[in-house]
Amino acid sequence: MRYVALLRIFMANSIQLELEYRANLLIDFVSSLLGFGSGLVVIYAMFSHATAIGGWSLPEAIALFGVFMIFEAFIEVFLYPNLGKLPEYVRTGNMDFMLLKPLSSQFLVSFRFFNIWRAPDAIVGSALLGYGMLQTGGLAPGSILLAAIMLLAGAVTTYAIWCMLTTTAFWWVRVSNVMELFNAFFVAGRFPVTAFPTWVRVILTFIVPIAFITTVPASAAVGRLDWPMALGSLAIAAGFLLLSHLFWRWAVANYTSASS
Amino acid sequence: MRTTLARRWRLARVLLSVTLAAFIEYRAEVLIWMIAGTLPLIMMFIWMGLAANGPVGGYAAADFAAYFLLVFILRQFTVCWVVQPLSRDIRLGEMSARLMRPLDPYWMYVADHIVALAMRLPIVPPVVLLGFILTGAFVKLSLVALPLFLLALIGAWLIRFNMHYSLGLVAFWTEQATSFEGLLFTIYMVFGGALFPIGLLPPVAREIIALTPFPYMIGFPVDVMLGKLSTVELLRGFGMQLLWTVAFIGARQLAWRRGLRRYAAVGA
Repeated sequence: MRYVALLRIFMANSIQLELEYRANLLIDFVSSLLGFGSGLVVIYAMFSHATAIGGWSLPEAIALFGVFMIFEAFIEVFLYPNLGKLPEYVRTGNMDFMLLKPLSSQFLVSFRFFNIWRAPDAIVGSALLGYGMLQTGGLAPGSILLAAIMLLAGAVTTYAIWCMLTTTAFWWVRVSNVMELFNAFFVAGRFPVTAFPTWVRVILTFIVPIAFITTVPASAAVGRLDWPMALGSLAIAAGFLLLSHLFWRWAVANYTSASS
Repeated sequence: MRTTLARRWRLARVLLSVTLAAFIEYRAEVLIWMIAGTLPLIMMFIWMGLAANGPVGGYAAADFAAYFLLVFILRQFTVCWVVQPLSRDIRLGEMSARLMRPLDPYWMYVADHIVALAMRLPIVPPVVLLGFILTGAFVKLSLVALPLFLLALIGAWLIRFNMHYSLGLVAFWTEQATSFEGLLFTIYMVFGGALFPIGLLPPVAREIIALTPFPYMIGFPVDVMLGKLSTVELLRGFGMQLLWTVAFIGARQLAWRRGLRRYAAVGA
């Protein structure tokens, strides 16, 4: 309960901070628009020459792109402003102050700031997802609920991977861009995993589970999800979250501060 | 004449060796940026999949493989991040220290980028070679075009670097320079042809895009190496490269002179 109250305070504080920089508003808006436009141009280029990508029809591919945009927004709003700063905390020694606070340090490092201006991407993504659903199975409450659960599981998995990547900063103090490794795989998430050759599909499913982050929630929304994948998604989210927490505790236990 | 040349050569050597030392310290970061540039390869898989049952818009699977492997080369060897450090140096006043040195700061940023290319040299060509072997796309290359391709690659680098440098100089006037970079990047990736060959678009769109600088930073050099262009198209492409290079160098110099006056006026 205490953490929920803190989360609300952090959020209010971030919004106050962000409101001082309203100049970014227009640029962020245009950049959302461009991201949306460029994604649709790619889909258009593909479907003007083909009828399906990896077995996915046009509305299904649009729904998937919507899911991809929602996760991009999630990363920009929650992960970059928080975990993205961890390497800097470790390098400058600010990490010591985090550890002194009477809170879970992982919570504090993960949920302190929110970049609200990128949130509109999530709304646009949801609209695309809704359009894709309307054009396929329809907006049935069951599939909406299932898609929401799968989105949540995907968000947990994304968070856990980011957390584990940035936690390496405790050892690799000089590496400030380790989270970009996630992007190397995440960019594949705007397409259905079935569109890739088998060996890439295996990597994207079992090694870096991008398939569970984007393909699975989109499948749930358009009614093509099978139960093994749904359960797998929940299991992976729980497993990765636990792993990230253990890794964090181990890293902090071995942390010797910047000064020593 | 001889002494200025000797002096320049010495400057260049010192500059490059100092920059290299700094880069080696951060080699893990450089490696990560390199790995993060997978998008052309992702697009290659997708388009090859689409073309598995027959050509798509005139492109067979092997054509897409060759196209995107070359896009990968272009992306890796025209990598440019100058907006961030340049605008930071201007905003925080660090430009003052750089101005003390007996050299236009431009060349220090150039040295940074050239060293980054040198560090990619032992990694990118083997990866691309492996890609060509695995996809069997070698036959799509026009090897006689290699010298022209290298020329087009240099042109692409010059356009991109000077464009970004001009954008970084905007920091003399506003703090938003880095936000514009994101917008520019999205347009560059689409119009440049990094996500799909521009040839797949309707002719009207193609004609409009051909007037912008973007296809000359990716798509045009790629098409040169694929031997797809007629002599007229080659001349036109190189002409456009020259035009945009001159335009951005001009913009850069103008912004530099005006900005410096403003910088001095502020008293930094």
